[in-house]
Amino acid sequence: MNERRRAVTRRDFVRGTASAAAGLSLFGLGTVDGQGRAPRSAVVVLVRDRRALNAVHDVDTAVLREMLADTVMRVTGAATPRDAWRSLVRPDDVVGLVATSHLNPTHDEVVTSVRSALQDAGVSPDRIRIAQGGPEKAEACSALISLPALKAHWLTGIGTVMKNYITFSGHPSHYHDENNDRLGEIWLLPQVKGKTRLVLVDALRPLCDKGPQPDPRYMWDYKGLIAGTDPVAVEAVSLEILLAKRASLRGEPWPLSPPPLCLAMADRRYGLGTCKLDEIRIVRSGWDEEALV
Amino acid sequence: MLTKPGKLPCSRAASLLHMRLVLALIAGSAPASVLGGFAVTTEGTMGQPQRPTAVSTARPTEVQPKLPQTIAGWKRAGPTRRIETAAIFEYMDGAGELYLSYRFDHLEVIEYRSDTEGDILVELYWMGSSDDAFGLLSGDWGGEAVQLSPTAGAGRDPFPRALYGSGLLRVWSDDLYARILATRESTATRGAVLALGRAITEGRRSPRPPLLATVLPVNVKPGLGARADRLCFLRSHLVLNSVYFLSQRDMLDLGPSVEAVFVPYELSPGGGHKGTVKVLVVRYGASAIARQALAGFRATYLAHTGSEGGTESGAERIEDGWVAYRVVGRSLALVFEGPDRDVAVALLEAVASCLTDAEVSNE
Repeated sequence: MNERRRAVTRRDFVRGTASAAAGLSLFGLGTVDGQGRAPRSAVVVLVRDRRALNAVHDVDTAVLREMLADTVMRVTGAATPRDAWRSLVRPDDVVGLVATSHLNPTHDEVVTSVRSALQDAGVSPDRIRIAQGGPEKAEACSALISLPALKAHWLTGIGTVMKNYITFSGHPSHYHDENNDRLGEIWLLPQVKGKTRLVLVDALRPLCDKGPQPDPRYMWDYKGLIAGTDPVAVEAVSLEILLAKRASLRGEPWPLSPPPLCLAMADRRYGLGTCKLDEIRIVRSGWDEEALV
Repeated sequence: MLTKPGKLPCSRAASLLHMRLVLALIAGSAPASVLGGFAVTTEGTMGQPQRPTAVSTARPTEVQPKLPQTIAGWKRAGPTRRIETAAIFEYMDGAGELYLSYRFDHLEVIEYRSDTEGDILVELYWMGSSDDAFGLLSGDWGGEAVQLSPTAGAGRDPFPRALYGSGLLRVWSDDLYARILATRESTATRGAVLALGRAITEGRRSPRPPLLATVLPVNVKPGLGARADRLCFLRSHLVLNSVYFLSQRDMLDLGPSVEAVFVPYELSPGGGHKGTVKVLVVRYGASAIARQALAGFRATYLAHTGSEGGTESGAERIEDGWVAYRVVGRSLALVFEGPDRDVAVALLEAVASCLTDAEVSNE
């Protein structure tokens, strides 16, 4: 954490040497760095239903549960939701549900629906925990289901998948400021590494600017779930949705500032998955109006 | 290399507008055509608060906002919560950095509940100065400008003091920045939110915007005009990066004792260019600090450019256009993404001239 790295500057992005400076690809600037790495592939599932929220943004739980079942079946290829969850976790796992706790939080209905589905798949209630918190929370679990809410973040560009585990580090402040590009390393800490079975982004009502504080001018009813087993790919697709929404609001490209270095780093430096859209297959289901991706 | 720093003539258009603004500020009647010439809606008096109760934790020298126990169908839920600096991350995670990037003192949180219309959250951010509260509002000039007080700044404000959009009211009131957020938006919630805004600002001073936010030229030349709706007053490189990413690391020695303003200038296609040229002006405590900051900036951001610039002013071409820079008294003026040298230098000179005038009139 303490060695003095060369800072990434705007010039690095513009001239395409940011990856040399920091080992990353160039998001939102029309450039992709893929040199020296074998092609990879990832699947990200996007399920939407226009009935998921009503006019005052309340969640229809029955619809949400249908969406969740559809999502996990498409992620795993299983024929039933129960089989899908059983392919992700075992009955003897201690499963931690890691939701965004506040400031545009994950909808309670999402957490409750996942808990219910896990129980239906044979995981006993006492083996399912709310795991957001310090490192001991992750340490106590053998499996993690990451349930972040989709939002822009004024310090990191995007504050969704990579940022969701920040408290597992035990030192969240170590990942503030210029060190936010190191968020990916948290996924490699012993208490976290290899435990994430599913990343499920709550995109029911995302926030595309001024996050993490809620600002309703930048929130909209997307009514979606975004999921996969590659956290970087899930975040990359989530980011595309945010960028597309921002562009539609302004009528011109409106990149996130600062650029989401943490995402690109998660790929290039920490090897957590792929952030290259040409390596990601998006499987869509349901409502396709204004899908943005 | 540019001419030596010093007082340069503003272009005629820039000069006239600048003089109008300075004179108007002195006279307390800034014209609407200068930086921040927003349309403002004057709100009526619907939803007047009842049974006002002072927020008890405000500092004694300030006019304490008098928030009602009930308003329309809402009732206060619980006492005022006070959040000190040390606890702000517990309250809002990384969002707390935004307030600490200005000179944050403390936060007061008041909640209102309604059985049928959702909740209203009132957050009162007490800042070190009016400039800090202005800076927080300047992070986003979007929304509908509303005038909460019939007299506060009426007719002389180059910038709105309150902005409403989709259930959220943001208010700059002296050293107080307020966010009033309704969980649902309706005619009723809008009325209640605006009434709370009026209650918060009633009787409070309405200082002028920071000088630095008002002295820059509006129209430098035909086809090159300021986007006042994108102006941001800041002190921290984190805030700078949120409006214009320059570097992961602070290259300009920004901080609480520094004031800075970022403004894009739009190029009209008729002038042969399009896009925006960016201006950043940083005002330090002394000219020596400004020169030192420029030296650091050149050594890091302009390293390996085969610099033709001097120690106090210059212009260099980099990957995304021309960068021009000049130390003007205590200030460092920077221009980014100039489409050519002439435009970058013309903009820099106009900015520098206005800064020189401001330094003279201010000191």
